[in-house]
Amino acid sequence: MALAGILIWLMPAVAQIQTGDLTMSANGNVSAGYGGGYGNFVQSSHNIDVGFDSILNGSYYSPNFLSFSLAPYYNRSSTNSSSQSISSASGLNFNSSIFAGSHFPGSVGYSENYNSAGTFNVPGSADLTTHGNSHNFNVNWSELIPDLPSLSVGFSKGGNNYSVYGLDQTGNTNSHTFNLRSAYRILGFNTSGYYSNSASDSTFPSLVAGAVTEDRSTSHSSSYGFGTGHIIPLRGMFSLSYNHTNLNSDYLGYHFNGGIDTTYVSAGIQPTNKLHLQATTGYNNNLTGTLFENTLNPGQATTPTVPSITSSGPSVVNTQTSSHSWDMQGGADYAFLPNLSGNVYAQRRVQSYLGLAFGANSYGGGLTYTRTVLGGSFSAFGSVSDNTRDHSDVNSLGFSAAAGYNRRLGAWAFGGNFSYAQNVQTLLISYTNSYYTYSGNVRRKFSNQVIWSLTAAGSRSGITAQPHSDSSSQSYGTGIGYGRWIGANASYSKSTGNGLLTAGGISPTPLPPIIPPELLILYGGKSYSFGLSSNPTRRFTVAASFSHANSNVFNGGIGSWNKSEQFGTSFHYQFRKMVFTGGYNRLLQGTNASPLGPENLSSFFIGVSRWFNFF
Amino acid sequence: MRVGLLAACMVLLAIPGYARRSKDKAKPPQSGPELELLGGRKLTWERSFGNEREVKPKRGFWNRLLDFVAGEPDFHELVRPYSVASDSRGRIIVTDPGVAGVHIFDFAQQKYKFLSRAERDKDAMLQPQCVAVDSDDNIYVTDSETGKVFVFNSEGKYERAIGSLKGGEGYFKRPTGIAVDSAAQRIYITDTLRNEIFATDMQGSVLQRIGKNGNGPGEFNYPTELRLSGDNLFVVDAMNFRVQVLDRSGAFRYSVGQIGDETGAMFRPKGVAVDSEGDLYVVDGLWSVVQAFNREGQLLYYFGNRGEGAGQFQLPAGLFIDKNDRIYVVDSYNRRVQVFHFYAQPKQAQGGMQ
Repeated sequence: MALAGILIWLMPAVAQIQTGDLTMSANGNVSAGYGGGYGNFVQSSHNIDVGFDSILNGSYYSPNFLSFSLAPYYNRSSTNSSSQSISSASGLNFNSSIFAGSHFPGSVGYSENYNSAGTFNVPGSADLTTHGNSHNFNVNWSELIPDLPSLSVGFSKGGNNYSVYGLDQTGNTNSHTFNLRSAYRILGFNTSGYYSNSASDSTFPSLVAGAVTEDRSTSHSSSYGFGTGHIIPLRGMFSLSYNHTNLNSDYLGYHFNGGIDTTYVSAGIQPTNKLHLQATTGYNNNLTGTLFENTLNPGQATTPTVPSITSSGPSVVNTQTSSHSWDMQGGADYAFLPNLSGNVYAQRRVQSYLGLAFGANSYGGGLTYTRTVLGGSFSAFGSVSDNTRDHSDVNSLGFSAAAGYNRRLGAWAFGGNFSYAQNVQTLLISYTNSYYTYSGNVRRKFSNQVIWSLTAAGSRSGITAQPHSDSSSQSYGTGIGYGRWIGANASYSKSTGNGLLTAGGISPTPLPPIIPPELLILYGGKSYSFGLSSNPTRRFTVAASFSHANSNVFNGGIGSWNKSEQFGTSFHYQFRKMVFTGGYNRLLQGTNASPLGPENLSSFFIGVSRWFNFF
Repeated sequence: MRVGLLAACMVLLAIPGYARRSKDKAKPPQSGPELELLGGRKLTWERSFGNEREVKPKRGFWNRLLDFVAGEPDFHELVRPYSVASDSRGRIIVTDPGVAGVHIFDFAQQKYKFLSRAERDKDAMLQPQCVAVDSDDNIYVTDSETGKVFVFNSEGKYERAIGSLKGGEGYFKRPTGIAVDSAAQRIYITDTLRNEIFATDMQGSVLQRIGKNGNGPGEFNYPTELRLSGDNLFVVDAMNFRVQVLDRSGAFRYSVGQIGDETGAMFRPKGVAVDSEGDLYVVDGLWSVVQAFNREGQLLYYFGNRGEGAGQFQLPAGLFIDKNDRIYVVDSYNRRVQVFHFYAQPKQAQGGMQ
């Protein structure tokens, strides 16, 4: 290994090379030094470490004909490089494109990573640190001949396996996706169609010991659809789309197997520059399936996404019950002034789920206003809605409002946004949401060198009239810098709420009333962090950071607490193409869901790296 | 797997052993155009430069050993050069807004200096535009962003900022062109957004404001570069597509150029300079040429076209002609300065013609 490093070191720096029509260039860093690691779960070790990261770029004939890049790396961690991994990671990334810019562009990508650090999400606190392997392969090709239907085909396949430090369990995910898309303009109609097939299989660690009987999620879905649109008189547009999805999913033992058809039609016209009229209608023949897809099917993605508050609705236990929904809406937008506009709408919704029929009429309107106030930019939005459920004389009034203001005042710059909503509609007629969010930032430039900033943000949301359905979060951060001499930052955050366990960690969900209680995880967490860095000279950098997080989770009558604490420090001194590097990392992480107790892991490195322009 | 990965990388890194180097092939030809002009005059391309390394091409044994072990130092290089001037010692001074600094190339002494004030708390220099040198080799640099003119002594040490107001902001809206009249102790500064030329004393006190917005004689539409030559002050009147010639008091004398896309017209006039015979040279940034006009505004000849080779330009900007008739053209997008040599009419021929 050391010999390899020396050979690379001695290799003379030469220019880009060309062999026939093949042109390539390569550069990278090679490092060597003394490093080691110790901890209560690993055997103490210390030795001479050699590592590298490099990139090879090339093309054949022309970059538009075939271009590629290959970036291998070996033994990289935060102690010996700019990598953020606390473990010594190795791997490679490959990307290539063919016929780029032509009517038949394509691309191929492949990546393989070993012993790379990752995160397991716990909302509101610093994520738990993981280490593991991952691989991904993807290939895409398109046909884009003018005046002929376009065609795009894509396939990707990937997987990972990982361990959470301090938790004696592992997780893994395997998935693949196939996509086929086509678009064509014929007789003034912009038409498109697609077919998609995807599958995933995830196993993940249980943060709460014994809380769930099975920690596996599988999903297989295939969908196809088409859409078309055409210009209509009065600067209007008409569009129609149809989608069909077959979903066969199992989330921790809760199954869904069925088809979902959705049809959507809309038409809009703009008879004057200030007036826009629109009418839409949509039909869904399996509302339950859509709810399941939106909420209890998180295993589809390796990294879960947080469902939107306003677009998601409660889910149901019995997913086999027949259901449907039909929405119709008509509305108008009008610009009274360049900075003042308003809209009104009328809506009829009919739904059937859990064997019950629901219907509701809604009317509403809103105003949007922007103007300059005291030298700053001010914007405001407000809307009200009146909702009447069938067979009920009770009207529920919903409203939402948002306001924002930003301005600079001398050396100060500040801004803030606030929004509040009560009784806004969700995907299901029988549930409404209420929430508020706020954010603010202040920045003060004391001189060209000294700059201070402060940010704060928070939110709270929940299903109206449903106790214990709230989720809330707060975060605060501040930073100050004195030129290159010193930079310091600190942050604090906390959150509480309800979530679901996924392969990427706990995913917050605002839907507690309908989700089976045994699946729901109540979480709470707090974390804080500090960071300090300095460049006393242009080529010398020294930095240190510390983070601490506590979180607790509760499920099925069992609770557990988690703790993660990380400290890292490093220095880099650059002399020409060499960088003298030293670093130390310490991780303390554990949960009482594991009988082994918290894991304590430390690593250090001191050595030198050299950048080479290989060819 | 790790061993396999390492082996694969070693194979990749060994490729240069059998592959042909393409650097030399890709390098543009290093002999530029040569023009034979009327009356025995001649214009030749001499060289181009764009890197600190080129000031000191030969490195000693210990430096080469250090280069081998630790790599070559990070030589300064032109990133987005804009304006050029030369002082009495033959040093070439190039402004570079791309790195918020000024490069000083001293080929005779094999020295290089980089002037930067971007990180200064007070009077930071952020967008250096045009440069001029006085009779003592002091360097004057306009900064279009801060609205100031920065003065450095001949050794590159910062002296003062002209137009720096108490609150830290600059007096000028967008200073661009600059010319220094050492004999009269006057500085001429173009304020492009004001469509005016400010004449100040050496400390920056405004003595006179020249011109106003318009397209008549003595009126400007976004004036940019300036050049003093003899009694004439040449002003690039960019959006009137001409060069106006004023006397040193600001009175209009004559103008050269008109808009067009034919040879001899101006579309994006940039740098301006005057050779030893009093002929006017104007860079056109869009057409990538340098055009030479006589006092009557007739096109004498032109050189350059769009490209990366010797004598070719991409977005040329600054222009300077030194006392030896060396023509320096800032080839901005190609990140270099190209040097041409104009050989004036031989004295014998001059006598013959007279």
